[in-house]
Amino acid sequence: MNRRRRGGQRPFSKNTAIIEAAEKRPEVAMKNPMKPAASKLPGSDSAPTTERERSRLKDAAVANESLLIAGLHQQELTFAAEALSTRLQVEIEERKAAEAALQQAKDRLSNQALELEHLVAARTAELRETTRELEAFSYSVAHDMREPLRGMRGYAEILLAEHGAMLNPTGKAYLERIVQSASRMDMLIQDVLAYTKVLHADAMLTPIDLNRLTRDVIAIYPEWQEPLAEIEIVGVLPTVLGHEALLTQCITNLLSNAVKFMDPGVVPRIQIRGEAKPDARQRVWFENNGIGIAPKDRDRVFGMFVRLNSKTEFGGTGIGLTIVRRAIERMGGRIDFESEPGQGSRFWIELKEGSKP
Amino acid sequence: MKPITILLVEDEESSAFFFQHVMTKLEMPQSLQVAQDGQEALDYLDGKGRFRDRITFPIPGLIVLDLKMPRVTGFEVLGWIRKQPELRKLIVIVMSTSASDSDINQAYELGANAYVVKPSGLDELAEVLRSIQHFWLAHNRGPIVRVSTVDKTNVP
Repeated sequence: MNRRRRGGQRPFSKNTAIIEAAEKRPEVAMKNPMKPAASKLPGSDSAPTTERERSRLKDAAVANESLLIAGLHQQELTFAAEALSTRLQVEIEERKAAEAALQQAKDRLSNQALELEHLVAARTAELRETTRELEAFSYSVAHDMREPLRGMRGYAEILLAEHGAMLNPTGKAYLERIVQSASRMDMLIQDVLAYTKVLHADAMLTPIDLNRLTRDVIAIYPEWQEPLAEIEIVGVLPTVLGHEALLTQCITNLLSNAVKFMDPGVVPRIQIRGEAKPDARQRVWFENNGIGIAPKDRDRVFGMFVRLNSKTEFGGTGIGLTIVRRAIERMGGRIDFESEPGQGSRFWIELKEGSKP
Repeated sequence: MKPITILLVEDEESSAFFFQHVMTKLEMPQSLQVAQDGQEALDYLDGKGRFRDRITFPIPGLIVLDLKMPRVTGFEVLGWIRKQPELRKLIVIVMSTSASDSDINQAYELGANAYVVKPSGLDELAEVLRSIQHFWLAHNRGPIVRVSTVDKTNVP
């Protein structure tokens, strides 16, 4: 009982029986470590043992116990390792499968992206081609329309000039209407052609000296010279980043508007001045002493074919400012105006500053 | 001295009529021949068919050339003229409805001597013809163009 109690105090209590058995019959205990009860053979207690023998036996039992524990641990570890290895194997397989699936998905996705890219490129090319064809078409239609128009106008003019004597005043007036209508239509077509040109001009921006360009433009038109009109450039106009042909068109249209919209008998006085703005931008003002623009008309000024005044008062097709706005926008600029009826108007265009060439 | 012949290459009947009309109005002394498209212009200049008769259809001192024509375009006529050893020096004024930069540039690249956008009214046309008469037919000294008459004319 003493030994049993002592054995019960050992940390590995399940081995107490083994030690007990070993103390009695080690060979049996070794064979049946888990069945100490069965080893309790009759007469085993009666085996004679000296103190030295007992001690030797005990040492052997301790050694055996360690071996046994180690063996058991090893076995457990082996099982655990095998289980782990199996699980790992499974996990690796699963992972491989997942990776393969992912790769497949990725491949499909990149294939689809590529396909999509090709599709977009193809559609863009198609669209560009269609636009180009449409442009060429409208351009040639516009041109072809001018030819019969020229015919109408020409024959009416010849009728008037050479056979006018055979007509009464009403008949002559009708012929004059035909000539006027034809030339008006011709102006419209030419303006539309000019507009398409502005839309599709190759807008490479270079530094343009507005001081020189504006002077050149003014010099071309006899009706812009004194005493018919007073056009003054105040100070020196800036150099801007722009496109010479587009800017020529803009200045021409702005000035022709500035000169045109006058009360009867008033000599147009126009001042053109530059103003430096933040962020390296340059504004140019075109101010006139004309009839001005009513606030209610503000939003319609830049609309295509919008005419704020009757065409008997002022000629034109109503596309001039539309062209200017599109041209300025193509050059990355802005355009607007300030005006009040009877106070003249102050149009401005704003473009990026260009370094002097 | 024989009057200079102007060859107008123009497929639009009205345009050709107005051209003739204004020439008459301006009392221009030149004689006018009209080729109704590019092919006819080539035949005329080459002396083919009825154009073999160089008395009736002389080599022109000035060609006024439309661009947009059926069969053979004005560009093709111009290109052809500039490749002919005998005709390449001929003065060619393009007169087209087109004001497009590409048409203008192409005409000059092919060797046009001048480019006029077709005027829309008779007054403007008269203005253009007056300028042509003053500069190209009076002040300008044109090239001397001679063509071999072998096999090209039935006139002795």
